Amino acid sequence: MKKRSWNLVYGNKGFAFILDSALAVLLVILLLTASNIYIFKNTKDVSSNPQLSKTGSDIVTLLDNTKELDTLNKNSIEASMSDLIPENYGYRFNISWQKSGEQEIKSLEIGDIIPEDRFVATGKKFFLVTNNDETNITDYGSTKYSIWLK
Amino acid sequence: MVKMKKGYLLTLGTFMVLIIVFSLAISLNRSVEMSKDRLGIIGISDRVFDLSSSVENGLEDIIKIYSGLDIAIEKNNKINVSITEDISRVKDDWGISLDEKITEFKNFISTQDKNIEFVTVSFDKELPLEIMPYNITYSRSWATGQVTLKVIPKTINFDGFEILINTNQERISQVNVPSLNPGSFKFIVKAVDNFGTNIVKENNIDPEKTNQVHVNLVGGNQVKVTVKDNELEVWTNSPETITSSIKIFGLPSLDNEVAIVYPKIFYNVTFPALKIVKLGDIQLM
Repeated sequence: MKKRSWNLVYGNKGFAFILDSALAVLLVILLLTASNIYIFKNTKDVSSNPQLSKTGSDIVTLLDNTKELDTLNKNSIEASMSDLIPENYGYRFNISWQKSGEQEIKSLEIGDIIPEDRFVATGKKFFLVTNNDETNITDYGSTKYSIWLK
Repeated sequence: MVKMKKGYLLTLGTFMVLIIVFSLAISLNRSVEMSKDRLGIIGISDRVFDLSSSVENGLEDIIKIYSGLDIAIEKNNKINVSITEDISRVKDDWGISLDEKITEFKNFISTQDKNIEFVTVSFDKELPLEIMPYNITYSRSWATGQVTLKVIPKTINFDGFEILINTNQERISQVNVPSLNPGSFKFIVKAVDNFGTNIVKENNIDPEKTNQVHVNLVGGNQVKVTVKDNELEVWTNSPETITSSIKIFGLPSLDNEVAIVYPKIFYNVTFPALKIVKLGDIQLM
């Protein structure tokens, strides 16, 4: 006749061994899973984000220094952007300006629709529009830029 | 008994290895989080710096175009810095369009960005400008019917002052030298007008004692150029605008770049939620 399982003195060693092993394996799995979660939780590389911001800032500075922004012309700025920005970058510029001595603020937008599923670097710069010989300021402007990797 | 001991050691060893793996995972996770935070801070700092420098550049351009200050830096073996401007004895006559343009720019900025706060009403007519890294201060002051330009060096570590006074439509009657104390510091005063007068007084002086050159104008008004206590002063009560060009020459070449700075804080860029404040002063050169 088979003995009862809990009649323990020196019997039921197999049961204790299996229970002990199962608990040990469970503990191992738990710790490995937790480690795995911690290691792979932050694997998304974000080191390129500041670089993206700098690229946006550099492009606006270049447009300002080459007087391209002074044109306040959508087609002209868009044409310059296509020469400047790499193909794998998306961008959107919102340019606002006010004529000296006037109150009305005008604006134009160029570029693509801002995506919501990835990192978008944004920034703002102010600029002045001068006449050709740079003796008079004609407009005050600001450029809000958004730039992302396609 | 031996088997039991082996099993015990195996369990303990496995447990230790797992604990080490887990600790490393937590540590890696923390360092990645910290890197992300730092990258975020770098990104925000860049953004604040960009915004601030664009405002600063705008203000610099306005000041360069409308202040009438013409600043030049010559670099050879030694450095020469000259500041030229038209001075008027009436304070209100100075910088009207400069004030207008700064106000317009400030108003435009306030409609575009709430993080930028201007802390002064406008550019201070009395300046000062600081010539760095030499710690030389250039300033103006007005009293009723007179205006004074002052150059105050912290130490006399340059060769001399060369001052060009162009009285334009005010005719020069005479240039005299009421007091001079000989020394090794060069003191050159050139006086010209639109009627062909061109007089140069060049002397080696002791800048600690009183040294004066007076440019007398027809009608009794004067331009007085004084070097005293190592300071230069150009004073006039001329009713017409005169042009003053002050050259500080023979400055030693230092490691730091020469910069002309308007040191008063003009604006702040503030992001209260991020506890970031950037104070904005203006570098003209």
